[in-house]
Amino acid sequence: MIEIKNLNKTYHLKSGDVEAAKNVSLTIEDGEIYGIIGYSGAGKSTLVRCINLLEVPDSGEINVNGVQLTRMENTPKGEVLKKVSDKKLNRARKGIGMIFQHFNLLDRSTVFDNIAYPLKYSGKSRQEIRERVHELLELVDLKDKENVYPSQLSGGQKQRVAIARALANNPGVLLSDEATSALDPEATEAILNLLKKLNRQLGLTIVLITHEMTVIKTICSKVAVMENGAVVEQGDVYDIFAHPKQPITKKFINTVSNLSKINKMIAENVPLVQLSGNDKLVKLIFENDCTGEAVISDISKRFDIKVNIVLANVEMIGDRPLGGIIVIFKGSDAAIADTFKYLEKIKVGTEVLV
Amino acid sequence: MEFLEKIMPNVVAYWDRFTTSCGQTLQMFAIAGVFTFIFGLAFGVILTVTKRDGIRQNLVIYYIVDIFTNVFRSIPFIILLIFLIPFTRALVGTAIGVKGAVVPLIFGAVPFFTRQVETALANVSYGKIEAARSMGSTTMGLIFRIYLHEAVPELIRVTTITAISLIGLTTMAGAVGAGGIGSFAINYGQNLNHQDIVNVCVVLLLAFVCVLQTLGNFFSKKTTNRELITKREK
Repeated sequence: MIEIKNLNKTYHLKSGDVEAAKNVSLTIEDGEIYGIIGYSGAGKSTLVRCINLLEVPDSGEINVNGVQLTRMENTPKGEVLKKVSDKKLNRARKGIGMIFQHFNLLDRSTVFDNIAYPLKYSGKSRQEIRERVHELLELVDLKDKENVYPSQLSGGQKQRVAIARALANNPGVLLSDEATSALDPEATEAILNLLKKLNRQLGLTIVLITHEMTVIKTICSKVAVMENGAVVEQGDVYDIFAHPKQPITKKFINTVSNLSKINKMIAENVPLVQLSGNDKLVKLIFENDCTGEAVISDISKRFDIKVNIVLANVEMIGDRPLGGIIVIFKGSDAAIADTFKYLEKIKVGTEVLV
Repeated sequence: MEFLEKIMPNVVAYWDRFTTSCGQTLQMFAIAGVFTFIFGLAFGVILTVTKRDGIRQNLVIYYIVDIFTNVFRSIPFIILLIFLIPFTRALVGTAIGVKGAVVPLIFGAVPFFTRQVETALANVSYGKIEAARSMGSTTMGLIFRIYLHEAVPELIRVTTITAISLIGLTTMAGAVGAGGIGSFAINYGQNLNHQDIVNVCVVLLLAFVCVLQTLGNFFSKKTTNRELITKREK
């Protein structure tokens, strides 16, 4: 389990102070794939680096798998941050793997030596190291690349080597810093599938930061949205997709939703969305197995309104469907009001667009 | 021998002096070279490690080494030679000969090499350091297993450059009584007006530099992994 409490970090730059983390608190349970999303400069990189103390926060408590990496202590001078000893930190770091956007492999070492890096000088025999490296190569599906240099590998393969290296000491946690951002879509998908497999097979807790909502949608179970150093929204990925609250969260969801086309259609005022009288353009959200067509025929029969479908889409969030339909309600004000009440009762989400 | 006597009569006439001079130059080069390599590498690493945001920031140590390096790099070598005479005498008992020359040679070459090492290590990407830290590497681990390991081809390259400039320095030391090819060329070539001696010295030094450069290029290439080289050549 990873527990972060009241974390603060400010960079003092010549151009002014930058608050990279503002009072951030997060709890990440074992076995979760926890996504942290935000635009560049939102502070997500700083946050993930605080988990293994590559960045030391100004204040806050960090506890990873029962090791208190930082804590606040009351002294006559006020509250002061206390860090674990370097020795304990280095031991703790062996239990926290990390992968990076630019892989950070050693160019002058073969794939074998790169993966063996964290195993050497830790009292293991050559034979043990060789066996472990072969195990890891098999795990990431790179058995035939043992003796090649990183420069001979593709981006996706390099990231696999980095993953194998990060897992060498059987860590319980894997931190992923934009690990797929430098990869093409195909390699991205393959790496995400690998992470998912590792999460299931090894019970690995994964904390990944990204600026792509697709990544969150594909593999994360929980998500935190960061903006200007603060976590503005967090929770179950499915819930966040179904009921986003903050404007920035909605913006991120729009990047992956087919329904976001409607915003452009409204802006360009295409005939399909031109309303007359008291028409309402509404987005309906259907969770889990609640299906759209049934509801639409139901409400048009039940109330005296016409329902025109403009756009429809089903998103798979992890393995749960999330349906969305954009419709135009045509009818009297009273009928439309009744419809909304009814939709709320049968737990269909509504959002009036125009 | 007859042929040699014909094209460089004076070199043959002073053959013993000539071979002794060659030996002295090699001696100065080797001794000063070894010390320069050790100190320069150590100072280069210290600068890299202790600089602001380095892996073990320590600005006091950083500035001491930095200022020492800048000061001795700024003094022209020929001035440095005379300036250091009292110090050299106190340290090794004499200011002339190979023994006396080695001290100023080290002071002249170390700052140069230090800066070169610093640049070579600065080319090791910070990401690699970060990755190693995330795997629990200690400061020593970072220095030896990342910085020095990844910079080997670059370090060989800068060692070659320093070695070549060190040859230049040894001949200059010859001007103030260190012996070696430099003083042979001045005393027997220039002062006695034997142009063939000067010519031979030039050819000899040229050959030495060529050998060093070739060796340097060879090892630098060999230590870079092959794929990288072909990419760079394309």
